[in-house]
Amino acid sequence: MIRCSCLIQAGQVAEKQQTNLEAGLTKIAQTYFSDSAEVGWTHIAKGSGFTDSKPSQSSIISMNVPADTAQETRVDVLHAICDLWSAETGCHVDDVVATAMSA
Amino acid sequence: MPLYLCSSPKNLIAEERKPAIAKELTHIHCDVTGAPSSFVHVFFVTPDEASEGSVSLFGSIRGGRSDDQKTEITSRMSGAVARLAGLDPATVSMGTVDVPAKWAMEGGDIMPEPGEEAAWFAAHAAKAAAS
Repeated sequence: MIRCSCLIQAGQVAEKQQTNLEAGLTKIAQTYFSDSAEVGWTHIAKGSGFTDSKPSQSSIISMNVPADTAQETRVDVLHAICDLWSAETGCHVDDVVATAMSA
Repeated sequence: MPLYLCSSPKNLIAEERKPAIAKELTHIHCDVTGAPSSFVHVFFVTPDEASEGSVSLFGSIRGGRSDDQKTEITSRMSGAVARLAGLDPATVSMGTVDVPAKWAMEGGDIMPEPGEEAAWFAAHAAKAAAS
């Protein structure tokens, strides 16, 4: 199981979009790790998210990947996540932070 | 990246204090590390399992910071949260985790190693201009 943690600003992503993003993350996990994804969501309340000390529009997506994942694969996964977010939400890529973490 | 996640029970930190706390945490991170402020994210959350009357501050920061830097960040930030939120310093705890820069992407580019930000911004801007 590939675990994903998504922190998004409340009201920024519609319910349908969230469903599509979850499906997209599952597809990425299947494509690169032949595994399913477990996606957790945290909605940052209005007035509670800041980037550069200003109200944030950033989404932060962390995918926990196997420790032996090659750097080249991590980069591909990160691009896939950023592309997914931009395409589904219409946000600017500068507002997407993605990590491919291993314990 | 970095991301500072400030967890507390609902209403423990007044809404009107959050901008000032975020500004101070951003300042401290940049002052200690020299990182650009545009990289710094500060999010406040109120998880159901938050301990009553206490604040937990957790920073995911790029790897490569020294132990002294991390100690200074932890000390100054926890003190700042307590002061600005009007809380007993003993109720604020803090930890950090190192995230290798090459494992993180912001703005569609792998994040720079500490100290390589200027070149990263130049390349990022050039890429944006070309697209």
